[in-house]
Amino acid sequence: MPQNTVPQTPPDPDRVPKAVPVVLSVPADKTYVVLIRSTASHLGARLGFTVAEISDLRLAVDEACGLLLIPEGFELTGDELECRFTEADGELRFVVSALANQGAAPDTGGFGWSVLAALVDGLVWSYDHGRMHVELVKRHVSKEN
Amino acid sequence: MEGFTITTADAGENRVVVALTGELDLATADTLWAELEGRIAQNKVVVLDCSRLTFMDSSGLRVLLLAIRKAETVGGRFAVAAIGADVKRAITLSGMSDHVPQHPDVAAALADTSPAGH
Repeated sequence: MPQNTVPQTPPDPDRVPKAVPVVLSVPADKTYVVLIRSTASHLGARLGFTVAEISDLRLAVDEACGLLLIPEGFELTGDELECRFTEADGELRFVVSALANQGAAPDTGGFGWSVLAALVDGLVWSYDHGRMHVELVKRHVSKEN
Repeated sequence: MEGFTITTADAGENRVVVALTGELDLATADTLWAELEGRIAQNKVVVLDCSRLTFMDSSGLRVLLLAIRKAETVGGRFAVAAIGADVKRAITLSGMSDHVPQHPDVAAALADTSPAGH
């Protein structure tokens, strides 16, 4: 066996700490979204998501970040984008937020929002304490039965 | 991780093939549009080879729609070739599939003689 081959252990969702989120803080810059997609892939694999589900999850977090990083009708007021991934019962909850001006709202009429809405099992946005949040939930399909 | 690259090749008869590798997202879409805008203005046919593209989001879709409109404006033709089902998820889910001319491979896209953008 080649020395660089590491035996793969199947993901065991029961062993994943459920209460502790994975938090990623990156510069509010489009070139960092690739890091967030990578993190989503890794966490989806840990939860036992299928290849198709991971692919959809990557696209979903990308689109959610895009709603903040390509603002339509509002401006970010800070330099940081915070991404919070929380695992629970076979689903992954993702919240992306950034400081934004009062009254900021995502463009819910654009392609980004419509693609995102079709990809996930739950989608909401909110604005509080000077931050705009977009929150999505992606469920592992085998957990639905 | 594979970086995003754009390689443009002359296919003769005022046609070019623009081949992409890597991930087309909000960070790379503007670079693609800068390349396509000029190529569409200068050529009758521009084919986007997506056979080595591994990701595309709605930013990429926006560039495709801009390219289609630009081709219509200048009387040229823009088409997408060899795009994987996974990669075109953003096109499919946005409901824009019928608006983006798609072909199974570059040869079929170049051979298509239908009117611009239709």
